[in-house]
Amino acid sequence: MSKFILRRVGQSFVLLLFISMLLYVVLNLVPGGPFDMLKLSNPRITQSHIDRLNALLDLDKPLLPGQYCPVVTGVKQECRFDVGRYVRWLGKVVQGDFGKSWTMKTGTAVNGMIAGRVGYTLLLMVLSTFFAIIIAVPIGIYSAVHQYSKLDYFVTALAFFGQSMPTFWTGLMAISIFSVGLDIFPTGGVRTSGSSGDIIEAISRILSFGTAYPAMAGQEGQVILDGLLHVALPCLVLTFYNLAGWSRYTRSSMLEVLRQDYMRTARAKGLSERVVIIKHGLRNALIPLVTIIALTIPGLFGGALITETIFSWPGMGRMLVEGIENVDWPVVQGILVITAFLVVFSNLLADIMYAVVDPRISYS
Amino acid sequence: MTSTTSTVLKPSPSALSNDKSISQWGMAWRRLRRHRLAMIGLVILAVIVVSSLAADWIAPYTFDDIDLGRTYAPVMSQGDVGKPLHYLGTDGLGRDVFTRLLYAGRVSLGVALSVTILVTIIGVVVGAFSGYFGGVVDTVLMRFTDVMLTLPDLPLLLILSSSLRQFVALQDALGDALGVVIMIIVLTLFGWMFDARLVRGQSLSLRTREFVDASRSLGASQARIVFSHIVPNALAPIIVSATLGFGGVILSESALSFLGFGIMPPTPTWGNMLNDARSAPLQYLFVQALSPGFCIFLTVLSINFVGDGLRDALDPRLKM
Repeated sequence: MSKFILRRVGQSFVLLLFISMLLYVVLNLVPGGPFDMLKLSNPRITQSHIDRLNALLDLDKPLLPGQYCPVVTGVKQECRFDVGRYVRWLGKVVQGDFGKSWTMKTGTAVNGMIAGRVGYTLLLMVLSTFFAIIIAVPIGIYSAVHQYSKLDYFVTALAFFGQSMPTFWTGLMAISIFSVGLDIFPTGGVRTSGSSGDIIEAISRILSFGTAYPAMAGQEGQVILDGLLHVALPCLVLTFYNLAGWSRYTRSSMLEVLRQDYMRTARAKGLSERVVIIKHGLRNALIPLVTIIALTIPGLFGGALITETIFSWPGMGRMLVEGIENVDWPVVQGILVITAFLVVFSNLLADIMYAVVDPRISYS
Repeated sequence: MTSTTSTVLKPSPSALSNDKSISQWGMAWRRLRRHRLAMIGLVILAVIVVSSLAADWIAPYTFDDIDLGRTYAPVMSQGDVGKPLHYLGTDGLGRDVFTRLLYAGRVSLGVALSVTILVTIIGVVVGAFSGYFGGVVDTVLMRFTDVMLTLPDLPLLLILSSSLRQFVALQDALGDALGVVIMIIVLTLFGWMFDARLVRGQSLSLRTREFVDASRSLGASQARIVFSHIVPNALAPIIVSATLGFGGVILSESALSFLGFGIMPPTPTWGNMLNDARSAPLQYLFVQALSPGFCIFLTVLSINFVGDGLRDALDPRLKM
């Protein structure tokens, strides 16, 4: 088992290395650079200025290890070997430094920018995953136990609908019904303008025992309530999106388990139907579900991109779109590397967890 | 085979005709016919396809007919004198929404069809070779497939479609079709992996079967074995996967166009019509967003129904 884990960890790192290289090279082959707008907006800036700026950002060096022939004030210098931008960037990333933003907040550390956004994404993800699980699992169990009942057909229909409805449409419909029509929830953002803070700030104030964000003193409850109103609609959209698939998975994996011999044995022992379903059925049915959820969660990081955009939710997905629009590659690379890391390692975790929770599986 | 045995046995004519209708595909078609949802899906899909193909004749206006005097006109409102009604109203530039939906369907369905065909071809070739040859070929191709599957696809689709647009050579070569072609390229690039894995799995199990051995002992070339024995036998799951993939492509294309990284106006797609709806004043949001989104939903839903029916019909063992 430990040999298997060791080999899989090794493979994961190699995979990550390839992914990071592919991402870096693709991004940096894109024509145009961070100073395109500068050149357009100010006619006095010449190509030599741009060249010097590019040199400051290391952009004149080759991408991958190779020959570097610098040109200083129009004079060709002697060529020398350069390890390339990718290797330098990777060296920093390994130490946890994603570099500095080019255009969005010029010169600001990407780490800090991501740290400022990650809370919002986490809040949205945790809430929507939580609601999706606590609704999907009971529905899935019920429709498996009562196969071909009315609710079972309803769940099947819901799964079909959920798979076919794009989140950007459900999002827009949710806004037009709940915000514009019924006026219950705000159309987007994290806070009402003029309030003393947002929900993430309120949470960090509480976590720091009232030392952070002193301007919010005494209004924490109000701020959190306001934040919950703002998170409700994006959370609803994401919950619905996951609900459809997960209830269907629970159903099919429960159906699989219900057919097993040990279920009959449990009933024959005289256990109540409730105990049979929950203790003998559900515990086995959850095994594949756990891995499926583990595999979906990292996808939510980037996948919440559309939902975050519709609701102007300042999470990582929104920042990624802004980064792409502004040609801010350090920011984009940072988010993508984090996402890829999460995907690769939750794949690994899912594999290992599978072996741990299900002793019938052996990898050796 | 069947014809030789039947001539030897000299069966009655009725048995012969019965024999004919019981071919593998005939049986699948019969099973599909009994699948009510799949039939409903097929009918809806046919209506959508035919009406978008016939957009030139059905559409009351042209898709870029701007009428700034009649922006955000309500459903069933009057057009110019002597012109038909705006059945579904008009958008922010006074363009007829119904007309745009028809033309958008043409673009979205066309892109989805091209991508599905390309993806299936690439997936089948990669998967069949990987599974049949095994060894180094398999390892290299499958590791590459793993890398592609692990890449965060939506962000990369955004990056690629916005960056390919910058290449002047592409702009010159393609002109107005630029957005559509880029969309097809990027969606194909990130779409073939599932088919490749599927076909690889199939060919791994098929290559050890007797008829492949027989073919090899008769001197068939590697390519002949792959394309006339392995691929046809793996056809059923490929068809199911292509059908369900078609729906996925429509969703991805509209997502990209919705985010403003896909096919750009004035070419209408359901996705960029939703993007337009987002910038409409809030009181018009519902009407503007309802119809394009509903078109996406209905198309993908019908495809999923058909795909589900096909899965049951072609391979009952795969039934969920």
